[in-house]
Amino acid sequence: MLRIRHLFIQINTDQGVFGIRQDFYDGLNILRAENYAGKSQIVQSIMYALGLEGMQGPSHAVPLAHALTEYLDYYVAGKKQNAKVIDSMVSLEIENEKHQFLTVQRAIAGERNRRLMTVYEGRAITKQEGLTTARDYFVREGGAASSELGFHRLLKDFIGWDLPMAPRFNDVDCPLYLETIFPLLYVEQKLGWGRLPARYPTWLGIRDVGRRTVEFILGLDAYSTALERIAVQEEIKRLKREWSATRSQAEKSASAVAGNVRGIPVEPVASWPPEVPPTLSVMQSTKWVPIADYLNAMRARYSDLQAIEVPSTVNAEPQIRAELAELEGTLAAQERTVAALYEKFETDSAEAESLQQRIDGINDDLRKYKDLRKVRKMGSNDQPEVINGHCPTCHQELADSLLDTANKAMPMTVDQNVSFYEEQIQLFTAVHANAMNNIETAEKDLRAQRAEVTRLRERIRDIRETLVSASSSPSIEAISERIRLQERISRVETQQQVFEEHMAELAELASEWLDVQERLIALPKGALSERDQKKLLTLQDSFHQQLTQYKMGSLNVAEVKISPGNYEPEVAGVNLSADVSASDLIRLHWAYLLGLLEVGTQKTGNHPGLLIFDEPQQQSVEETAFREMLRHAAGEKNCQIVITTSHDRAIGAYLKQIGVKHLAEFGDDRILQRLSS
Amino acid sequence: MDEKSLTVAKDQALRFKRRPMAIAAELRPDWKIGALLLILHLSSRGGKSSLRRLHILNWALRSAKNRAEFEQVREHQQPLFNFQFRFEPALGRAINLAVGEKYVAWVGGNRLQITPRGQRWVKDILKDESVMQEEREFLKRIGKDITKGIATEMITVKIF
Repeated sequence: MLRIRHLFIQINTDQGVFGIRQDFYDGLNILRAENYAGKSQIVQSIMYALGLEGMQGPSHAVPLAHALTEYLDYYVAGKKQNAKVIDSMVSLEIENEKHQFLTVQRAIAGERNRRLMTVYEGRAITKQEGLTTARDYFVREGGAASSELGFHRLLKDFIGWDLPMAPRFNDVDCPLYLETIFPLLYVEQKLGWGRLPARYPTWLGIRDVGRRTVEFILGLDAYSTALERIAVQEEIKRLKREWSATRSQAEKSASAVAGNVRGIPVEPVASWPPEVPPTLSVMQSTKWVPIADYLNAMRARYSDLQAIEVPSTVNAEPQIRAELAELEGTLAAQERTVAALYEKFETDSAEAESLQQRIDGINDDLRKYKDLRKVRKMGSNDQPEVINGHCPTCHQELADSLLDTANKAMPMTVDQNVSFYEEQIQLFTAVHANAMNNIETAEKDLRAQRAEVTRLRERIRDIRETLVSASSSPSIEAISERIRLQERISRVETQQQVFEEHMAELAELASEWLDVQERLIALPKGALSERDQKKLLTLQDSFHQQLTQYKMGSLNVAEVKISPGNYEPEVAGVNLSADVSASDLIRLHWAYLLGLLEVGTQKTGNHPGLLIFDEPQQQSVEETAFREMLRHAAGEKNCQIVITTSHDRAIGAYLKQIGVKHLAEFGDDRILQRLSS
Repeated sequence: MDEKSLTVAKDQALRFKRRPMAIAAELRPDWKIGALLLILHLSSRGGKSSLRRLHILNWALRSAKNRAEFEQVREHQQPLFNFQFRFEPALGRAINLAVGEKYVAWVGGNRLQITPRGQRWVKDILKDESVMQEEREFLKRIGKDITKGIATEMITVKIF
């Protein structure tokens, strides 16, 4: 919430001090004065005091009249005098929902930096509160909306706004600047009227600025829904990426023990572990066994070995001779297996490669066919006979092909050919994927079998060494078997641990996946949530009711709708700003901004409840319509509406009749008056 | 499965239907004519070229591999005898059609020149940058410097 409480303009001239002190109240405030009296300067000063002149353009010039910046005319006994402005300043007291007050002070003319504002916590002008709390903030510079000392950051916090980030053209996102929101709260007299729904600043480069601001003011979920949708998609992408990274890490790390990981789903899943849990298995002789079984077998063997004493060579000899013979047989068989596997691996690789070449070739031809369609279309401007399937010389029918035409095979049409190729690509891609899969499996098998061969060889070497060593020495094979076993157990154990860590990581990702899926389901189907639709309907109702009240002439009221796309008034088939009479455009403008105020000040809206109309009786809108608008505005609750007018003084009686308490009547006087000499 | 189920009853005589055949885009007349016009327009002085030269450039244009090989030979990064070049009969047919269609015309008996009608088509093609992009980039890169002499050298050196 934001309320203007007191405005104080002070102009020091060589002829003394001029200015104005003006109070503002809740409800409707009317400022009435004659033309040229300076009403616009009052509302414009309020915007300037809030550092919001950027809403009218990127210029850094002071948007106020010469009376506040250079020279000021005043009358002494009906004679026009001229006073030179030395310096001038505007001060403003504002209030928020928690009944906190701020006084802001900004220089207009003079030596003081116009980008600095002094802020007091309290009513410094009317109550002399918080005079010791003066602190300088900056405006109209980078960071004014975000930095600690930026005034707009202070102001948005004071109003209680949590500004959304808005995407920009050719730039990083920025917070929805205050300059883009205030055009819905303040209509400037000269250029503001009739520009529905508002004259937004374009120089800030915010995309869809109209939509974003109305969404914010009404507190629609649409924007957060859109953001959430993007966030959910990003999250899904991230999870998929991490999932596949973890999956391939788990598979790769298994190769350290020539192991094989199976059963990790390719895509993230929401429930973990899957029904068939992933396993890490290790090759034992010629079979894949789960790593736990493998470890148990090794540990059992190890403890068996521990239990018996290391035999001497002579004692071990008969047994290891028999083992040697058997091992050599096994080794030979194993080597044959490896050779066969290697051959399969090679043929699979060659097949995959030729498939890839084939796919590339078809893709290239597909590209050519796509081009061909265009080339054919371009060529047909000249209507060559070739394209119609006729020989240009003898006009006989001609196949759409440059192959030897002696054989009668009909070529496919271009479209047939393209879809034929597309099918082929699908087929070959599937076959290729299958081949790649085979290669991967063969690689794993090969690695495991080779590891097994190495183990067999080591064992054979150990036995041979034992057989040639001194007969009384301890058996070398027995000792080295123990050592190797121990070392292998520790390696496999580490790998098991690594695998379990990967599984834990996947479990974590699975639960995040579940979360993101729930978020995805929670998103509304369309752009607008139910609550949003209700708000827009309320807005439309108020809009219709007002338009009827203001007696709009050039359109049927019921036909004017609030667009669910950009939330602006629209009539099917009618360009509102071109086809509607100028005075109706003003009516639409009043009704729309007042409607926004009504809907936006409800609980979930962000409308600060402040609305300023500078001279709303534009384009000779009928007196009755203007009066109805005043009546409607006077009936608004929980808000502050400031309207300036140069309507004749008779309006005072009407205002009294409709219950307007706050009329500032300036009569024939200038608004900026001498304060002291 | 018993034998009976494999035999065909008389009233269900087998019928064969001729299916249309898939062919490479290369072998469509308008593709080849388009390529021919591009060669004449982008890579031939005065829009004129000898038949031999056209055959070489047509071969080079056919695939990314050929294009790379051609450029390597031309920049002397590969010996000339590596150059595996072949005449494509389809080009001959395309030329005949293009002549019949008056996109190109024979000049002086052995040289082919692009006609204004051919120019119109090729300019239309060049307007859309996505069409025959790889081909046109290649032709622009090699420019108009491949003379008949170089072309002859490229072919005849294989005799050694």
